Amino acid sequence: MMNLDAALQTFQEESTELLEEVEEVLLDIDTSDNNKEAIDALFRAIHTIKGTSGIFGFDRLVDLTHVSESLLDILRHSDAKISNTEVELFLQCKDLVHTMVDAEVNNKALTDEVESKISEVIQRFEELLGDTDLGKSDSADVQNSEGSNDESEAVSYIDEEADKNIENDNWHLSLRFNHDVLANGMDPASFIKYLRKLGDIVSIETLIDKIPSLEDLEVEDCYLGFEIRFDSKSNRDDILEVFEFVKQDADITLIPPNAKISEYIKLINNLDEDDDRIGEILVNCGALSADELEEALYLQEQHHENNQNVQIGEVLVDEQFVSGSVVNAALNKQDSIRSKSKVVRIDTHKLDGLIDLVGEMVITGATAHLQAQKTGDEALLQIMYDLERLVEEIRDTALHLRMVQIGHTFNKFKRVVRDVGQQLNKDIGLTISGGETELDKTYVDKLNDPLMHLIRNAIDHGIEMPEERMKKGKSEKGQVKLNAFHDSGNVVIEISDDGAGLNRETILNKAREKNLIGQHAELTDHEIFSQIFSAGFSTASEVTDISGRGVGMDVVKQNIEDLRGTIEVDSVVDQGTTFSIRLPLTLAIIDGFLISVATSSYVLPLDTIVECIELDELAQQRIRHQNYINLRDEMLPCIHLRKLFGFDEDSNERQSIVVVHSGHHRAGLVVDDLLGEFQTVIKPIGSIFENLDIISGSTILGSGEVAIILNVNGILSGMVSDEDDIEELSKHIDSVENINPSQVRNIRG
Amino acid sequence: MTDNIMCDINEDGNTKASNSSKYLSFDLGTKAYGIPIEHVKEIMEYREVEHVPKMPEYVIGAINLRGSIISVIDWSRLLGGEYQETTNRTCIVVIEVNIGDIEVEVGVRVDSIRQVFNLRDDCIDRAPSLGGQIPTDFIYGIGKTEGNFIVLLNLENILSVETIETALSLRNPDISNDITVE
Repeated sequence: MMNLDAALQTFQEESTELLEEVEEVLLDIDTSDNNKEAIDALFRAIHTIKGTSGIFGFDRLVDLTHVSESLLDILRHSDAKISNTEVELFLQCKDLVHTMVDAEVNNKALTDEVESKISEVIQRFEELLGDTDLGKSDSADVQNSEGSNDESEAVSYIDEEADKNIENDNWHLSLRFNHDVLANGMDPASFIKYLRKLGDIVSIETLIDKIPSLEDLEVEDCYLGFEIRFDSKSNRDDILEVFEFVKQDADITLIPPNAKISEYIKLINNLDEDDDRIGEILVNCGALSADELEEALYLQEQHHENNQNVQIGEVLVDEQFVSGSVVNAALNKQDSIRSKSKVVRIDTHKLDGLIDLVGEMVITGATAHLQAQKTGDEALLQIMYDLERLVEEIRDTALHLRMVQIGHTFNKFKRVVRDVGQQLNKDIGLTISGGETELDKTYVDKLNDPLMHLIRNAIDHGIEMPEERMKKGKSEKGQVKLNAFHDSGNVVIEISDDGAGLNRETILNKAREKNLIGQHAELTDHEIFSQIFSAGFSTASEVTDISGRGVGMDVVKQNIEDLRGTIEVDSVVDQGTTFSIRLPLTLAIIDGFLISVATSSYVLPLDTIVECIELDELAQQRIRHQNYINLRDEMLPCIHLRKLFGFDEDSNERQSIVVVHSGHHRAGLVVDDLLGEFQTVIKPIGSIFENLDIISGSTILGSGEVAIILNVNGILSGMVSDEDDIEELSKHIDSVENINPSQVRNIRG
Repeated sequence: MTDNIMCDINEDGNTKASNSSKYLSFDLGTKAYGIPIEHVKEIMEYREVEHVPKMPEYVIGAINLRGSIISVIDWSRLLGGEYQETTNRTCIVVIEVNIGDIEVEVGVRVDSIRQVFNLRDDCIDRAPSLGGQIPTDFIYGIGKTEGNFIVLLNLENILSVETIETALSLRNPDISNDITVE
């Protein structure tokens, strides 16, 4: 098969996703009220994995998934609540399946340890199956018990209209494979082979009508169709499930045993072979008798005449061929299939390509706009506005494609919290909030490791042993919180615990011991806590399996900084520790505000701007000589960008102040001119500028010139060291004349 | 003259047939340097470069090269020379080189372009371990052409931020001018 690798890849991806779902459901099941739904979800996931494994011939996987599926099937048909032992067993099973899928896909042998584990788990499942009276360990029997429900359903519905049924105990399967089924890595023969696991193939007719003459024959195409009589106790879904992976590449019709003539009519109608020929085949393989065929063809004609515009479902109900509920069930099934197909997997490279193009479009749009303005043609300008608006919408949509909710990532940590907690004998709850916060997919992938580390740390070092917690008057159960929210163009992720908090003295001593800080340096709490991000710093006196190898926090910090983010820690003794990770929202395009300093233009991210202030003559004079202004009775530190950027400090321009904020800090940037809002496409800037913390990127203006995007956070943090001076100054605030509020222009509406 | 194999020694029929490569030579101040031509993406007339604040003086800034932004470096300053006024012979050489796994594209301001020439591999001497003004990390070798010496630059090192920083921190202005190649 040509695309076996690709098919295996898909199998692995799908299994991984399904297993994640399984885990999530299992971890929720303790508290969730509606276990029925949960068990159904588990059943579906396990069942799908089993089906696919069967197609690839991964027998051991089928064995394992089969027993767990059987247990789930019993659970979902009984009122019994799933027990903790069972949850634990399913979790083990999930891990094993994951290992096995990996091994199979990468063609590796399983270790003896894993093998014995598998046998052990299968045995435990079988014991559980034995305990429940319904279950049998033997697979055929289980399938019987599965089928029995459906059979009774089937019987009841036969009773209603027995006279119209075709006497036949066998299922009828009609398969028409598309030409490219082989090219897609699917071998029809393997499906039919796998079908035999569900029952006996009574007869099979191979349709060779479509095979072209030898010179037209494409060796890689599939031309075959099959009509199969199939004896099985399985239900419809199970049989269709066999063909799950080929359903897009084949037309499959399944007619239940003792079906009505109408079903066969439908089949005959739907197939593109000549009606008489189909009839002949059906007779050949024993689906219909010759008489029944004639009747069918006759009825078919009547249908054509009378019911041309009526939905087939309605016809069937009207004529009492099928009960309404059956049709509803079928429609529901269709809906669920449709909602599945709403999700499209796209290669991220393709998305990146699209976003690059949109970025180019925004730049070209800006250029076109400038040109249009030069002509002064009103109509043209109007069109340009419309066009720009559309481009903006496309931009937003394109960017949105890359955004995913962080909730999925958060949920993965439920298992971590549970496992690590158990390992350390700590009872720990995980609270998740803000899971709907969206951020760039690239970030989500790269956040996994740092988050994992922080959470493990919180459980291991942060949260105390239950006894200790009791002594401190806290609840025995520790809490870890994951929270995410948007804040001024950034995504903030908080990981907090209600544990012992960071020990200021221990950190201080350790930092001194390792010469990370001077022996007599006076540090604020915040500065001391930040020491834990230094390389080689670990306060845990005991190195445990969970965390504390001393290579943790500095790596976490590095990871976050690689994403152009920052991480801060805050802690209160005996109340807990909170880590805040601050990340930019996206990588590609931002809303910017264009300013000029000396001869150059710069972009400030719009969401960092609080307001813009135009200065009058007097204020102009004053601001030249001082680094602060009094804005509405608040001391605002100011940064002269001319000075900061090393330009000639004397400006003839009428300077303005842009008030910006980042985190807790606010400052005024003294600039030469305000040029207005600007859609800024972030272009990567050479590695040589990477270490420069006052710029975050560059962009191209409509004129084709390059403009630097300023990193407000970086500029402000350069100022923070002077903060004490500012506080000092604040005391003398009354001596500084207030800026006239009428000069304040709020650009943020 | 561009196609001559320029080498005035080792003409005595060396045992091994030696390969030759093409190099681009250019002037920085009064000195000539060479770089392998395969890394040169394009050469353009010097144009206004957007100044990037707070950068060391050897970094001029960034330009828009057909939609992508590349940084422009003044090698004259990096290699310890004076800033040269822009003339109509001043050029930007756009260089593409892989540093580690990362493809780096950088513009370099040079005072004038000389020529493209062939140089046999055996005409290149190792860089002297004690250099003059130029940090030895930046030098790939000394090429011998028609009795002249031309300094061939090591692009991987001279364009990597880390190496530049290390090299510059090692450069001691007090002694570097006193030591010359023997």
